[in-house]
Amino acid sequence: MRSLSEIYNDYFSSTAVFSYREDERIFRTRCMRAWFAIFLILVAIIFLGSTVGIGANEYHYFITNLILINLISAIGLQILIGFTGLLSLGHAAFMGVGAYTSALLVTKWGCPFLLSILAAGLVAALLGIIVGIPSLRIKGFYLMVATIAFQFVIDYVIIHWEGVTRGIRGIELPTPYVLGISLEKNRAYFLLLFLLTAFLMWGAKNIVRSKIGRAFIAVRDNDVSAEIIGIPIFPYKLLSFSISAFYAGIAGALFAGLLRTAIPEDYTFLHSIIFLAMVLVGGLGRLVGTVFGVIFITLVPVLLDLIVSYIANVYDPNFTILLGPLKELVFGGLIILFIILEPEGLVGLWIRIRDYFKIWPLPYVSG
Amino acid sequence: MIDLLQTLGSGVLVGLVYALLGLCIVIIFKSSETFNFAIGEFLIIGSFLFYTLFFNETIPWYKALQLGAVIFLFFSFILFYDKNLRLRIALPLGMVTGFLIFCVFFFGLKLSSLITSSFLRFAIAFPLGLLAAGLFGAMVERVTIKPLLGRSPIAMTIVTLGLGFFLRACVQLIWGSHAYPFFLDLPDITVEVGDLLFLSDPIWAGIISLIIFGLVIAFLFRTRWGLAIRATSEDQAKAMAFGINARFILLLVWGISALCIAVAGIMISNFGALQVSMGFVGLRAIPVVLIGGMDSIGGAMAGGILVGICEALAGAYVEPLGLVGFKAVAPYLLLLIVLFIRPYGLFGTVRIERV
Repeated sequence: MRSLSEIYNDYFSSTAVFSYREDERIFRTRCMRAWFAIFLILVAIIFLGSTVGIGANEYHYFITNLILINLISAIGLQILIGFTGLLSLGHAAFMGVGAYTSALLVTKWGCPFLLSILAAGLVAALLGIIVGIPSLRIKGFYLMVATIAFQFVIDYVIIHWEGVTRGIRGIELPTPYVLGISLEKNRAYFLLLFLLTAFLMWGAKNIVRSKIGRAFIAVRDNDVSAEIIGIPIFPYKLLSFSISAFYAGIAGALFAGLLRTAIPEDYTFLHSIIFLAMVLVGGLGRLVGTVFGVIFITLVPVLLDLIVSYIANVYDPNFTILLGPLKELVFGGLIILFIILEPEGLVGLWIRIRDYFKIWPLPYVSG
Repeated sequence: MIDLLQTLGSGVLVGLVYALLGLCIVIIFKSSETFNFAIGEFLIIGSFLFYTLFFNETIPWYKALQLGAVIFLFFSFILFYDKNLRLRIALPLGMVTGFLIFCVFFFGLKLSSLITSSFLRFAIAFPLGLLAAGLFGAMVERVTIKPLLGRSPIAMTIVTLGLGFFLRACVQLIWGSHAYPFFLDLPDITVEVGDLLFLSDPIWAGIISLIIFGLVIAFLFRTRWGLAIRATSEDQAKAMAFGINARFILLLVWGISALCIAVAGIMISNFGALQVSMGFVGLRAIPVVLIGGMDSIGGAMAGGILVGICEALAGAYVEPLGLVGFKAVAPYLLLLIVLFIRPYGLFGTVRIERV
């Protein structure tokens, strides 16, 4: 006679696999699939609720859009850092290239928004291949610092190539249209972003669980031995760079579309550090981790904003001048604390919680 | 021709300051495989510490009290893990130091009213400021780097990135983000030969940087402690097996590094004014160390001078062609070229990997 725990575990939460096909599934247990379905239903309910004016307002959608755009960009960085082990501090530059490509295509040639996003991704990917060339000979810190050099060079080009990029004034974009639908409202933009993010996340998962991803992981773990077992490491490193830059380019184009403007300040060295922090706080080598990292790092300044504006309202209006330093203080402190206290990142925390609730509230069975 | 000589000369003088910045990165990289990205913030904080002592700058009591409290907590709880030592040595030590720090920040050192000669004032405030900066570097190492011993060097590097944000925010909260006028008033040693003219400030910057560079090298290669540092850089585990306290060595290295960065910071502030945004000068150390080689002290000197000359040449000959601000990216372009030709820098050790 099997206990209830065992039956529940076998049906819902068992991670035992009997074939490679099962091992490569995106959602390995029925429990995860159920939660994913619940998540999709919740998103649908919230979206439908807001169309009739209940619940989330435009500001909430704006924040959600920021999270989704950062997520797309951070997934790219995760593939590069977490799966291929190539450190990069020039990610924001690729976003900038994507944003400017899209902005120029839309304003100068009247290219459709969706097509310009794709073009932005491709141009950034091409640049990614160029940036990746030094990775043939250098790695670790040296590579990281070489990417910083590219970041500064691209920054310089964006700011000083006045004829095309209009310098620090930036380029203003018209309201984006997709298939004849206006994306003026953040809510409409959210729908596009949600679909795109889901698609790109699925793509990243597929890359990671296929031959390419396994080659990436082999390169990450030890590139010399990867070469010995027959993986051509240089093409794979370039591929990793170009995929990462492709994601960043798309994110940049979407960011420019969200703000209706492309300005150089949004794609500086500091933003590269922030993306690196998102990936690290989330946890390396896990795509789920990136989601948590992005949500966390994006929401912290928003929450600080709320707290500071509350204090300024109630006690002292001068308090708002502390907002800028306070954001940096909390951001830097969080990076330090996370690296010292939680080396695995948020995903380590998440795995512990998930495993605890695996067959909760039934008693534990092994297997 | 005169133009070229003039440009090269000023490039070399600035390059000496950059070489000092490169040295700070190199000694930390050699001893702990970590790249210190918080160098810009160390630079500002070192300069501000010196500024407080030299110009009698005071800050309000509620900020000074916090600083005193932080110092007190640090000395009494973080420095000693042993409970007995904590009660007997650390608590009184922490109280005294915290109180002293509070007094200095709140009342100021009043050097300007005591000593009229500005050179003498500089001679007193300079070592004191450097000492404070060195202690500050050691403090930072204790709190953020020591818990990471044994973890991957990447983790430490990322921590220094976070540290950069954190320290910059601290400086903004304590001293604000406006510019402070900075004028050392050192004796005028302007050199004027024919059509060549080198101003006094860059010459002083070059000389003092060179002296500090020489002192650090003498310390590393002529003293017992320097020997211990070099041994630890060579192989941490073996050095520990020979009885060298590697943790203390790390503390020492960070202290020395922070001290040198403060010198560079003071010299760079002397060209203009002191403010938070000056921290970006610290990033100029990146091309310096990579061009010279990350683990080569002589390379830092060569890289520094190369970057200084490259910047000066770009400023004098390329910018007039219509490329505004090209001076700032020229070192990075040079860096990329060097990386393609010699991936580990001009003088860096080529790594041989074994599986």
